[in-house]
Amino acid sequence: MATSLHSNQISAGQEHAPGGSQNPVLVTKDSYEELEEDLSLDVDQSRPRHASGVIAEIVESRQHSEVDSNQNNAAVDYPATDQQVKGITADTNHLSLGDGQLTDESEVFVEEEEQRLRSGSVLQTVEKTKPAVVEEDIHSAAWKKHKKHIFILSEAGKPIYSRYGNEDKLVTLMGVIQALMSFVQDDKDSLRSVVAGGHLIVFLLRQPLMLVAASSTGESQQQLFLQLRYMYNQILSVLTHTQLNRIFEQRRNYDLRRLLSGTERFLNSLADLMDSDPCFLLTAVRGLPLDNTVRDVIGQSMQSAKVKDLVFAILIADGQLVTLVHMKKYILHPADLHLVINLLKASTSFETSDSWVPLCLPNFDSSGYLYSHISYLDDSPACLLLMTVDQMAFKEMENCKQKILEKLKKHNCLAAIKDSVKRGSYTCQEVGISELRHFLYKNKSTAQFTAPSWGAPYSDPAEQERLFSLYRFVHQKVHNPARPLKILFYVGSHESALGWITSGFELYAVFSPLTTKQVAILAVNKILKWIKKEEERLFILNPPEY
Amino acid sequence: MANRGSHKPNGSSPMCQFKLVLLGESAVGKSSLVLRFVKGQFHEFQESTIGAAFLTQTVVLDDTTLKFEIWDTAGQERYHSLAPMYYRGSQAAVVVYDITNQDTFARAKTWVRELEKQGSPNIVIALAGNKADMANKRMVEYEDAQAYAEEKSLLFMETSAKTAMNVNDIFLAIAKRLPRNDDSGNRQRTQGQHLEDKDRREVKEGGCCSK
Repeated sequence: MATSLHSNQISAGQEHAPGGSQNPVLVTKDSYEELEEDLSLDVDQSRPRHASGVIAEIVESRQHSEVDSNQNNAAVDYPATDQQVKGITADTNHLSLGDGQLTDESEVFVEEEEQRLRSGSVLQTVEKTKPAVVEEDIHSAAWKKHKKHIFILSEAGKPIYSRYGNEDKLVTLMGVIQALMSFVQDDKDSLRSVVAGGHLIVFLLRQPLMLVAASSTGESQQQLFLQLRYMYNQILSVLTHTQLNRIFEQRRNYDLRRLLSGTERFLNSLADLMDSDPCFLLTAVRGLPLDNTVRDVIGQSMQSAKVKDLVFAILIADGQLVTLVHMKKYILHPADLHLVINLLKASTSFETSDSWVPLCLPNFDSSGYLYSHISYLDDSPACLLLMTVDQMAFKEMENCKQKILEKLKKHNCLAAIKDSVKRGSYTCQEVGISELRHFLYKNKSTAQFTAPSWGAPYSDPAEQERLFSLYRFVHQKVHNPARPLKILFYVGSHESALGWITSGFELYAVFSPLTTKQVAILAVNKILKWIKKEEERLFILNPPEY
Repeated sequence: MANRGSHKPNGSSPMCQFKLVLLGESAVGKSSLVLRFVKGQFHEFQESTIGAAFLTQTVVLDDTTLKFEIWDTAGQERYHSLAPMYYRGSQAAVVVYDITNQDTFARAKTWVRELEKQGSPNIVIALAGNKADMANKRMVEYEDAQAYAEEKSLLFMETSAKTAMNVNDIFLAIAKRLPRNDDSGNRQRTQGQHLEDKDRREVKEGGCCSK
């Protein structure tokens, strides 16, 4: 069937796929290929797994250019003496906490922390941050009822995170997980998954951490692996890979919760988001629907306010990408952008003030931080992130933000963003295909996707959840590593669904259950035509560069 | 930011600008104090700060307009090595502890020590014993903290971000202690050659007044 489609329907080449672009704004590597590569590394540990060195490269190129253009900027621009500036530059070479000059001090703190740990005070603070949660444990019925559990522990078996319940009360369970995984590991093998009744339990070893998902949602092993990888990356985004490793090299039985305190809400929010937002399933980012002239003005405003060392400038509204400007050589991975989106979703404190946050983007460079100026523009839903390698550059970023803000206000761009967020995504009716109930479309060359709003019959959250699991099911069938499919037509009791994968796009469309295959195929071609017509509004096609 | 006139040596409005940093263990109420001071708000379940937040507040004291540039830092251990970036060049610091938690007081002392060693030489340090509304769970005696503050010549107040008790007062008390007349500005500018870098830095940040 796939061949007949190819011959008489639109050709599915990358350049013809609606929403395609020659200048991708995001890394476009397919996440499932990446995952296969990643998992094969479990056997062959010699190859590098983590992106690393990019930040050092940028810092180095900056230092070269600084030497060339003399040191006319340091003392004048900066609230620090020459000597301090030099010290700071040395710090940014390492960029991870406790590195360089500051190592001595931070070790002092480790000792102090140890004393406090002995006196039990740290555990007190840990408990205090989770006030209102009802304590569930492994014996309570409510705990068992959850559809997807996620556990994170250290290789020594120390609990780090549990999606439900207090991880302190799950020590025995963590012990069992640790025993299972290390037993298999002793034979130079790795435990991938266990099927137990209606549950699929998936294990991911990312030394020095162990991550486990136990799910009764019907998701595939790959899908759960991907989610665990996101959880792992969320931890890296706080600590960096370098720091995480160093901590456990120094002390194998370290209690990582101390360093992660205050970030449980990001892990929780990420786990929830992965159960409802298709962006993770598709490894793609949703663009905010916007007139392309407005988007261009925004992009140009951001580009023209460029300052030294600015690597990425990202504008996000309501979890959707407005536009992104990047340093010429460096492209952002959608999975990194997902972590940024999650960060914004899980925090309200960015709305009250401008923030300066060290963030590790694991797919960009897992060894160091990008320092991010985060601010909501003029109480609008538009959040601007300016990411730099220079941890002292807050003032420069603040000035840059002011310039961007003035330009956006002058051209009424914030009002346009506000309108678009208020209006929400388009409805399925606007596409004008009567049989069609909902769809997801991802353009592979830009790693962006589009989808209509959850209209009837999916206005109810329970129905949305069911639709989402249908998408996951179709997605899993077409991405089955043993037998990948190009096209799949599935008839269920509530609806029928079509999944179609080409080299240029992925399309998942849902119809009423009585729709025939022929009608569905005609309909998806209409969807593609409609998206082609709307592509400039729905996708970010020509992002400016620095 | 630089175009708001506060740096002009002969600006028309009497305006001083100060950098202030909040330090202290996590969950002692640093963000709550700042939010109370800047926005008059209080949230029972204030999120923990990540990285640092930057806020400004302008107050009028004795016919002079004072602008605070406030760095509200995150208290977690992992952010500790970033703290020097915020307190270097600050004219004032508020070190916060929680009166219901003895460990946070010990941590506050460590911050004071670090500021004495590595902060600006003339930094004004205030010690704030926050959560004074929870005096029934008090673990740090007022007298102990006061004695410590006297010994170190710190400003000291017990505060409550929840009830607003002493919140504005502590910031104003800091403002009063900060050098902000013409004399101090000129004196700084005319000091010896070897201090030139530092002087420029203080002038640049508005450590002196433009009155």
